[in-house]
Amino acid sequence: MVTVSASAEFEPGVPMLTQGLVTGGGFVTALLLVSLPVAALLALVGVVAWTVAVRRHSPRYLDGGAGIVALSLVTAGLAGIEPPVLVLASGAAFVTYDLASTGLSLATQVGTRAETRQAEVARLGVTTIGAAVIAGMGYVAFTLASGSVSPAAVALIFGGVLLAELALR
Amino acid sequence: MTVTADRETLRWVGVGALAFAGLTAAVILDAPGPLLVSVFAVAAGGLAAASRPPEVDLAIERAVSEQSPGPDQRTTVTVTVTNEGRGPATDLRILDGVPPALTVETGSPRHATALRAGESASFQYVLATRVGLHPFGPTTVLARDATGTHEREYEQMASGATELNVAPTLDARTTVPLRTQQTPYAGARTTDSGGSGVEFHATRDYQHGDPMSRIDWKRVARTGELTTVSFRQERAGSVVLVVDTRADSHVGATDSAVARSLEAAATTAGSLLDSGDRVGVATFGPGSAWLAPGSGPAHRARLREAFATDSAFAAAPIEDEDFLPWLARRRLRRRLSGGTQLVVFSPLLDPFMVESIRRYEAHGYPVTVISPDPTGRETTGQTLEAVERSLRLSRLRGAGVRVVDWGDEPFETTLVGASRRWSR
Repeated sequence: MVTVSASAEFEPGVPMLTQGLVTGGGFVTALLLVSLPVAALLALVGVVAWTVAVRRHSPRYLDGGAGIVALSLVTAGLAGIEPPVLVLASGAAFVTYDLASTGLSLATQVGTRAETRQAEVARLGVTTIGAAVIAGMGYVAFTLASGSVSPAAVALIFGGVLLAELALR
Repeated sequence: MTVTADRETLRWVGVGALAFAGLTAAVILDAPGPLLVSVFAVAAGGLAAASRPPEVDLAIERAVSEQSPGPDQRTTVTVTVTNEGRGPATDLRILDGVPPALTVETGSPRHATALRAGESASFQYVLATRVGLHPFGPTTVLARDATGTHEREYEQMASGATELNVAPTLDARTTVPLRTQQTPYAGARTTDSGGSGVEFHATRDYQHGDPMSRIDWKRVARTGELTTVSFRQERAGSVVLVVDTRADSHVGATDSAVARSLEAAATTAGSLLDSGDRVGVATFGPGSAWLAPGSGPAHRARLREAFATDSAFAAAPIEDEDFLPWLARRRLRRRLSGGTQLVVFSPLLDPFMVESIRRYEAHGYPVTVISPDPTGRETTGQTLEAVERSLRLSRLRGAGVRVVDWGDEPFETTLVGASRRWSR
């Protein structure tokens, strides 16, 4: 993350719209997991961390919150929560994390005094579309894994994809 | 547009670990649930790996409400950015190159937006003006790709307004005390030589040819001796205001020593012109400016123009690798005529300027130094610099040079205090 410059007119801070979206998106994630209290509680802790992250523009809280929310989602997945709900919760978490991360970079590069609404709305739109596509892929994978193909086999296929991605970097 | 940096934001680095955790859980526990979670991580990682730094083609135009505003006024800057590329720019962060000596009063020179092909976005900010030539810097654009993985930094010179020209009013707002050396021209400065004038100087024996009006008739009546009263002669000063514009003097983010010096020089010029003195200006730095001492309305107009349009008076550092300080010192000395005195505006951050001032003084050009203090006291380094500067000031005072140490208070206040000290 790069700070363009620090001068008198610059006040670092995450734009208010992003702050609201991150808190709202986080609560949606936690609410979707409410059928499994442990996962919902974990997600709630993660949401609090994300809210603190965007208020204090702290990357540490953002990463910590992301880890806790991911743990809550894996827990929910292992506990056998309804697949559509899990897909929606994962999608909401994905969008929320992306918005929070973008908000943090805006905080240090653009600050609170600048107009950022169009960038924030565009980010929300792009990420939501991306999340919807990924959710579709996830659902197909899940259908495969819960049908004739073993989950381990599907997991190994995804593992291979992941390794290919890392090799491409 | 010039690409100045390419960097990865590393925002999706952690998702690899999440993906592995989810996939491992799915394999070990033979449960399909974690797959749903890890698929997001795998997809995010895949998109990040496939993404490339964005190529954007932008047109940036800058407009100002007034190209040549007066000092201490407000001018509105409007920046319009147009996406001239074929695709959308999903994440743009723009920072306009605000002139370093000016402060943003309202609004922000920063803007974040997303633009479809052919679409434009505008933003405005208001600058508080101050004396000098203020060139805008290049506009910095940070463009991110749709995944936010790559960030490319561009610099581009905006079309339209490229500088602000702020001419001083040259109104006399204070009285500037000069050294005693004056010119043969009549003026308002009292001298140590007797003659015609207003202020009493001395009496002497009558000499043939003395005007009748200057004979002390009361003394003649009392003693019968003829004595002549002489008054302090009033002459104009010939002053060259020298502003130290070397790169090292541009200290301070929004209130650099050079910007303060320019304002003080303008105030001094106005005051001296109003008191009938002949005033010239020069810069001691790259692209040295020179306007020989003069007076009158035409000269006043030339001075105003020099402050506002001569690039040597730019309130931002000028890049010039060929600048040789010793040559500038010699060139200035050659330009000075006898009877000229100097008022040097410098933060005195190096021994070279001290040495130069001492040399001018030794060559018979009385020097008054007005030194804006840019040093702080927050760190040990700053304190050390302040102490060194203080020693330089003392060295100059020891050499008989008048020095005004100008802190945070208004220039006029500092000058009144200094005048009071010097008149004791």
